[in-house]
Amino acid sequence: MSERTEKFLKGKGNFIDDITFPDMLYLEIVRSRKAHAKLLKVKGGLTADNLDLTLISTGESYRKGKNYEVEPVLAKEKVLYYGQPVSAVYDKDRYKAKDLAETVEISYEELKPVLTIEDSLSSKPIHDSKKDNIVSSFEVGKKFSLGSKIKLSDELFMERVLPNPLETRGIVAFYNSGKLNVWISTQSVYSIKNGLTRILGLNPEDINVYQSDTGGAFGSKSAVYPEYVIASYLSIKTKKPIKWIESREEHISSTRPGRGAKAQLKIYGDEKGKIEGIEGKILVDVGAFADDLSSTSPSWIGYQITGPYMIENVFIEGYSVYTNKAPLGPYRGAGRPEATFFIERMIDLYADYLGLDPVDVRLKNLPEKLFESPTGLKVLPSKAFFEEGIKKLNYAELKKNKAGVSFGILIPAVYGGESAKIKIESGAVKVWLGGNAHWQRHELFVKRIIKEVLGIPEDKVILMNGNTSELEKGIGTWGSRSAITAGYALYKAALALKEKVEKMGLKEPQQVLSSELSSEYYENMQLDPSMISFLLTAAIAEIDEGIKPAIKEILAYYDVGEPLSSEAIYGQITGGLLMGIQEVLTEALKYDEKGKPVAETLSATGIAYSINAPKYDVQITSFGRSSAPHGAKGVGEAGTVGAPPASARAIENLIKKRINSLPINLDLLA
Amino acid sequence: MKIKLNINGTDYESEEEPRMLLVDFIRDVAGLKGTHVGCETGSCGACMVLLDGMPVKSCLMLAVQAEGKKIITIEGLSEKNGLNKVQKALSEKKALQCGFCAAGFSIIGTWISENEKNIDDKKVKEGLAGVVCRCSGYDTIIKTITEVAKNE
Amino acid sequence: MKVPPDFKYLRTYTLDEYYEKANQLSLPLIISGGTVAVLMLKNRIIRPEAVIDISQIPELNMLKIDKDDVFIGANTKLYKLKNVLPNDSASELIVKSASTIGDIAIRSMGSVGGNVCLGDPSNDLPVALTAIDAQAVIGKKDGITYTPITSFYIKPFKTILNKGEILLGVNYKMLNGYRTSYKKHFINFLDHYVGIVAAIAKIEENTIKDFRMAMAGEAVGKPVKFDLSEFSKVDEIKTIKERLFDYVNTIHVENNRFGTANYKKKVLYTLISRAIDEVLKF
Repeated sequence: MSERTEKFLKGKGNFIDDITFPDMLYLEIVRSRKAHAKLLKVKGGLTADNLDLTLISTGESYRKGKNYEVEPVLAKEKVLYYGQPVSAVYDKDRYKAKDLAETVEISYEELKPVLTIEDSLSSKPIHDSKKDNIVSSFEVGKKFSLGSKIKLSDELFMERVLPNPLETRGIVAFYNSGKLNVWISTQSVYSIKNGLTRILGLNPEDINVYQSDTGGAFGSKSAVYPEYVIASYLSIKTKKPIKWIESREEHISSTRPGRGAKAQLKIYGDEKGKIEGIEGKILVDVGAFADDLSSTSPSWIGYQITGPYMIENVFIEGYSVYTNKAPLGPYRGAGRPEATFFIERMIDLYADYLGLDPVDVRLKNLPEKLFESPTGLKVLPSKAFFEEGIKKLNYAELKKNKAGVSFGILIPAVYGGESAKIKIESGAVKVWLGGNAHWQRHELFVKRIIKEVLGIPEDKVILMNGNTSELEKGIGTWGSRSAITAGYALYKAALALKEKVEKMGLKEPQQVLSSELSSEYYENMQLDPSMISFLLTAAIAEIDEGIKPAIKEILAYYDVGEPLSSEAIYGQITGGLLMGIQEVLTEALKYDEKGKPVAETLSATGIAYSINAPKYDVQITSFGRSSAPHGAKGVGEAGTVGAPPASARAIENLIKKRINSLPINLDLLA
Repeated sequence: MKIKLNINGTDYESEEEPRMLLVDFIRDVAGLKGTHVGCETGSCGACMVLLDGMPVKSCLMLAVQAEGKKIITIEGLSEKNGLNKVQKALSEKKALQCGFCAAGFSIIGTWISENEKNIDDKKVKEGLAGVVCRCSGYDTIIKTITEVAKNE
Repeated sequence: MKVPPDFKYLRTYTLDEYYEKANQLSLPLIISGGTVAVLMLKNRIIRPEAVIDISQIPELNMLKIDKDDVFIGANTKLYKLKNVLPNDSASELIVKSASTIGDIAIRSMGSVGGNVCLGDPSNDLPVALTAIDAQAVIGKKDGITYTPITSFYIKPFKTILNKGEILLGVNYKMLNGYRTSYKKHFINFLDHYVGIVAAIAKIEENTIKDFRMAMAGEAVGKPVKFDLSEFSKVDEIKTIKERLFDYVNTIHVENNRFGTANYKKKVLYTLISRAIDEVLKF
């Protein structure tokens, strides 16, 4: 039984919109209704022209270090995407704030929006300060020339996808007695604190960030957004608590989506199925403004393009480009699903050309000793894992059902490490982690580690929400990192506490629980190959009435290292798998010819409902422990990595037409 | 105008604008925060409540429309702040993750288990459509509710 | 957040009260269940001076069965149809149609009147009602008129209802010994439907005694009724299908977020074909 879930099931959660204060003001953001336009007039509310000067200058100084364009808090002179914040209004009545938002007058001179990667490369720069629309360019691997017998090319595309957590974004900012207190639905109170400190020019000791219960995130609740700055700024100005809750419509237009990546690849190989090289371009549509993550996305995808395979020659040119769309962010997997989809689809193309079984071709290209890809990626020999997995999933049966199969790797984002704090207080062990759970069940591994190291019963252990005043330093939860990094930090913190306990001669858990000990630990971590897990996924499709493709069964054989909680892992995997499947079928953020998102409701974004859930066959296995002392590997993004190429292949097997673009073009069924 | 609603057996009366949505009355007037707003267009079910015993989406109703009817929210599904069978099973099976969907699945799960006959996986799957879980892939939720409903 | 604009709320208890208020106001919005009306208000597509709640008007809550004549009051909740309608084939088609609307929460709030009056080509009941030649029963201050459903819709989102009028309900004749089929296709659940097809037929010894079909959906527009009177033999299935496919080919279908025109036409062919098979094949 989980106390946390029980609390939610009693309706006693404390999500961001549940947090209220007397005299609270409700903030509404007035947004651009054009994707690309000059702002001729903005009248009403807080606008870029009447924002406090220091704010802008702080923003400017941040921008100086970067060679890409950073999103301003409020648009000035030009709007560059539909949904960009232009003005802000507030009222003590939530409904009136909405009415007030309608009174803000904005007039535009429309410009032609740049909406695709191709458009971006051939159009005038959308930023006046730039000479073209290229944000950044990279070269990954080494140039090569090969006289291979087989050379096959294809263009592959993954459309933008919205994170769409069930709880949208939101914040409550309250400036009180010289300190800014922020409650927020987030993956990292630390990235919020660092961002607000920098942009608002505050002293770090004058701002505390507290995590509310967080109703899902999937990447969307890690960055600092304009609304957070505006809410904090207005609270400092008015000395009142300010609440902003995102509407679903705003989520669709303005929260950062993921994917939006294209690859033009050429695969080189011999006639027997030995892959000799992979080369080409990876292009990422970062939208109207960039950040460190989005601007480096193509090189991150290129880095892992060889997946679990031994491909000796790799050369990828990467480009990220501006378009008149909402800025790009991470979405569950963030680069990993893109790389996997690209290489897996190329291998299927190659196998089909040779008339070989795609699984045989894959097995043939796995390394038998540690392999360092020309991209720098190091992977452990994985042949034994995949051979075993193929047996476990009963490949003969899969073949009969025309299943699609994908091999993949999951690289956890361990860099930066993580922190943890343990505090014994009123008979309970309270734990804070640098990565702030949104109830992916971190509490299960937390309880397990505390029990293992300190012998304290699980029901006495409480995982607390993120809080910068309790635990000062931390990173965040994303990139399949928490079990490894936060688990590691907690394990070390628990060992340190154990030492104190032993020194004091406390023997029984009851004695420990009545102490007032605490311990805190932070350590940076480096990725090593033992942390990378292997993923084998298979999908079986059906085409209902010849017009409706669906995945009826999905099978996963996933390496999770030392499993910390099998129920938590199962839920993470099935959740990711369904998201991955849905990206193949319907889920996408599409824009009309004017740059406005075509979906106006959550259902229209194509997310999965219960009727879309396939039969799951998930086998959790350990292909060795990771080098972290508790042996864990990542799992959060496993399903979104494995499901898309397997599902696309499964449908391809039925319709006998190549699928190289997601979501699948239904015209292929016509 | 004066709006008077009966929620979980308690009468709440308040002077409100007629445009107030039922979900806002439940959350802000009655102070019952377990009913959530997820999509605002009836796509997600996070705001689901029982109205005279039938599941409805409280973001698509005006508060005033619910006058004279009995409203049950997630907080009122069991006596005295406990958990009913469906809620207990969802908790034990660790079926939920982020928990924002708790009202939706508790309400619809309870309704299905009490009203649907000849329950199987497929029926539950179809019955749950309309409530979104973005985290879990629905598998454990479907299995859990099917099990409870079969034992009703 | 999405919240309705401000308005006056008027609850009416009798038809006379409704007519009086509806005639005084410039553009009142009528609300019964609310699923449709509240969403329009929240989207601020409409900004009525007043919202008239008709849910308490007794005439609109009635179900009347008089010999083979059925009247369903506009306020009837969609989920209730399955329990209250008679066992004839026409009612069976209505129940099939109603039970596929949205999810149970939408069906327990939504009313027959709401589904009929919005005029969205994706609404279910209008297709079933068109297939069985139902009538819209329209009330106004000076009386009641019966209009065939086929002439109730002018174009998508536009019906013949005028100021001061109200849809009291729908009326149809029971049909016995028919086979029914109701097919539809959506890309995303709780989103618009690409196509909807309703069919009902009576067959005796391989002879088609009566055969009616209707179609609507995003790709089609307002409901259309097919004239199939010239067909009398079950073995003409192929010809019947071709005739309807030809009709589909004459519709202007747009490429949009629901798919390309080619794909959507294939959807329509498939729905038509399946529905015809279900009612004509033995």
